[in-house]
Amino acid sequence: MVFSSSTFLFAFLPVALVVYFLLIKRELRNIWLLVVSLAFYAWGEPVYVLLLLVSIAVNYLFAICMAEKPKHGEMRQSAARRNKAMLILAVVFNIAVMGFFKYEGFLAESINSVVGSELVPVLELALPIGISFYTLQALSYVIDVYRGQVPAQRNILHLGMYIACFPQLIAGPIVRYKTVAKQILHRKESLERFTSGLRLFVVGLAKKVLLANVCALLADKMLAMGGPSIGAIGAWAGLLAYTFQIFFDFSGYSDMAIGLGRMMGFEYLRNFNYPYISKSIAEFWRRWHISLYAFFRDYVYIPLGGSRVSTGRWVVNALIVWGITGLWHGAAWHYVLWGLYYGVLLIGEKLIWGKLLAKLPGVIQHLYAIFLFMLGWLIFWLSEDQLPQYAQALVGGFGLTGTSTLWELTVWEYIPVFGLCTLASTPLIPMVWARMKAWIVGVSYVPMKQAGSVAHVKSLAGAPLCSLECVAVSKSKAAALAVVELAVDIAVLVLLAVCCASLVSGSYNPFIYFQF
Amino acid sequence: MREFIQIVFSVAALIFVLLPVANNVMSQVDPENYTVESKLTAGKTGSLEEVVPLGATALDVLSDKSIHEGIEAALSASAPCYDQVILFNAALQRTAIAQGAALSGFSVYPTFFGSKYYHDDENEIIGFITYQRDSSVGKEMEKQKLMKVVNAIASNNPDIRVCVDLVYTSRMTEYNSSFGLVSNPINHDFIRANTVDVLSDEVLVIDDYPESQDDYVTGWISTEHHWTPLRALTSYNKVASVMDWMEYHDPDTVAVVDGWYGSYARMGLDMSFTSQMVDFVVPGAESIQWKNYVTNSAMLPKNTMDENGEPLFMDGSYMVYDRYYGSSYCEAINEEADNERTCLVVCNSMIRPIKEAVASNYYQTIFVDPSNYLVAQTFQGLVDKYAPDDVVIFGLEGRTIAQKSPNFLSVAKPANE
Repeated sequence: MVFSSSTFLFAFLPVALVVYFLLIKRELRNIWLLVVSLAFYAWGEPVYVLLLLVSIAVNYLFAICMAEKPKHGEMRQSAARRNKAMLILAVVFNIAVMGFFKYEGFLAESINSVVGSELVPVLELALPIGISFYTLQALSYVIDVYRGQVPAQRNILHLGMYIACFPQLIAGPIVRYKTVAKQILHRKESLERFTSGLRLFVVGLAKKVLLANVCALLADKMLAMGGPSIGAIGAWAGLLAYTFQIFFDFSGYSDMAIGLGRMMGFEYLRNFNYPYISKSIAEFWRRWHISLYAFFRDYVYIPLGGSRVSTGRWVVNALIVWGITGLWHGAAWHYVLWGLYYGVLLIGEKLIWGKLLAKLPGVIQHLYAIFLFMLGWLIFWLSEDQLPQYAQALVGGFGLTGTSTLWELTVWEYIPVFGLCTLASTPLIPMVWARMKAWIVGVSYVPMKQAGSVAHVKSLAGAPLCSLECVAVSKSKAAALAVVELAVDIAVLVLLAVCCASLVSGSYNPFIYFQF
Repeated sequence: MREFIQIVFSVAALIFVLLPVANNVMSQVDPENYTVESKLTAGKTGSLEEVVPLGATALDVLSDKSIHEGIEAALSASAPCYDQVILFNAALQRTAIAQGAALSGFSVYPTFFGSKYYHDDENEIIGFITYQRDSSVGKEMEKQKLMKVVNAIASNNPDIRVCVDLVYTSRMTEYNSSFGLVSNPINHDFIRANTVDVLSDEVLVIDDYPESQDDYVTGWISTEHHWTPLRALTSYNKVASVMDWMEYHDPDTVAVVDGWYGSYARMGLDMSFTSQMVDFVVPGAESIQWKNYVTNSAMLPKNTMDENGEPLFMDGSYMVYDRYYGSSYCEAINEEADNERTCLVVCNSMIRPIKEAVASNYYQTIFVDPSNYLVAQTFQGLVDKYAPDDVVIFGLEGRTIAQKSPNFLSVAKPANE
């Protein structure tokens, strides 16, 4: 089941929310949330829901074991060794499970192509949807327990609810246990939070249904037609369409997940912070899939030494981290190449041209970043077979329009959509909204700190629709503000109606998370 | 105040997402006032009973992707005012596309993203994007299957007059608004090379290509692939001139339907333009008796009115296509004919407007449509069965015949050989 479907929107979600709020007790709400989350996952994966349950149970046991106080007479070092062994086992278990289902075929084919025979059987296993996300969540939990940053969760149902919670189960964001540990029992549902979450959900749904799905039509068409048929115009338009598709798909899903969580009282951290306005690749990765970046930073990069090592060692660490990041995205060499591509760029910015880049005019910096992340998407998007011809088309190897006419390419149809996507890729609308609110109530608009810092990300968590917050509003202007906010709510309802119309029409709705 | 607004907002959103399920339930409780059947997309229904097979277990429902797809489609179709919703969605997309077209200098553009149909404001046409030579249509045409079997019929049955009238749909002509916009389109030369140039001298050939832009715009229905009844009559008269049939010029006409949406408007989800159906009267047609063998619509006499004086096929504007242009495999007996001759007509839905006119020339006329109905026999087999005096083929290419009735295009020997 996906969020952008009639089954979810018209059947699952209303039932899940209505029953949730009819249940008064916290414990019953948590149990209900676990039940509907498992039902959500079982819809299409009835067998693999058992795998999810096994993952929950095993990680629960590992954490409980690690949290055990030293037995009577047990030396502290002995307990520490025991806990470390538990941690290693937990990490091995989680990675082994994910690795088996996700990478068995890829590794088998790679080994077999090297040795020139079918040495390793290719099992062609169906990939359990969301295994990459819930495995990382489980890993973050056991590691944080080991580090003493959070107490082990004694209630397996609560842990199950955290790992399997349907808002973030199949497409993230990767929610750290310590982010929600207290919220399991002490979160506060409120009308303000519910409506704020609802607005964010609708915005996310619009990103997915009205922008990502439409861009996907052009991207898929250009890919299907092939380089010789589309020429440079078609190739660049297809790449641009994919660039928008993947952003609005991912960020839309994250918004929906965060919005759904907020409706039920959870506060998840923001996952995307307008990455396409970045001026460097380093900045891009502080804004793109923030939860994933933070995970690999905290659980791979820093344990490897972070930046507190020699330059040579740091370069190696960076390549390892980014190679793993690429591999996490998919079981294919072009994903690894994509990860290493960013590793090289980040190394380059840090050691070679970063200072020079910072001195350039802002426009040049933006163009630099745009060009590089689009190139990155090219590597991410195309398989090894598709890349050469498509790249040839990009540089004009097949002329401007290939064997097609300009009309036939249909690129021109998407000009208004690209305009809308460009606007939606910037924080312009939230900024205007924030300034408007400040103006209405007659206070000064004070933007938050520079985007991208962790502190800034945390402070964004409570903002209803904005990425920036206003100074506190005086009560005497509340009525005027309420009228304007009513207009916004009406606009959101209209947006919901338009999204539903698109879904009902059976419009193109690709699910690009199958590889996760 | 703010809290009140938030409550209203939340409740409104909840009611909104519950509408499809509510509509589905109400359609079973009060079917007269609530429906989950779509008029626009025939066959699409919100009935959940048809989706989950009897005896399906919970595991089946959870794991079977076809059941999921069925539930998804049924829930979507349960949306209130489903037809209006999908038209609205298409209109929204078309508005964006129109802006892109205006910026790019194009006056013709698809009716929604990914649509095969185009919108032409200047000529007020909803059309089908023209076929290209390397498409399946072009490749099938190059096989010349229909023309080869026609040649065989003419060769194997020298006593039978064989006539081919090349009948063009609106998507097969160079006057199609998208013709100059796509690469390698199927043009008239390509069609002639695979039809007229292939047919033997034993076959009477009429290439009824549109004579001019004006002929195309007035002769073909603006939201359909079909031609108008009067344009069909023009084609009939061309055949009549070589077959010694009765010609009908300046017949009495009946404006049957005004404000009709053809199949391109429906499938293209674009109701910007309507079409008008002007039918004509064939004197003596009422005396012809019809026997339907296989049909998707009753072979109704044309111009029939219901008890309210409305044309019988004017029922919400969507069903004119099926009622008027529906195909059939049928036989006409004309007791008033001045001969005992039989004609075998191979045709498709394009010929419906002139069936009475054709049948008025023979005692017995058999109409067969192998494009839309499975015809098990070969073409020669039908000739052997009915022993016609004349065989007339109204068509252009054998692609749809090859799909539906592949045996029909086999080049077989006569039974008496």
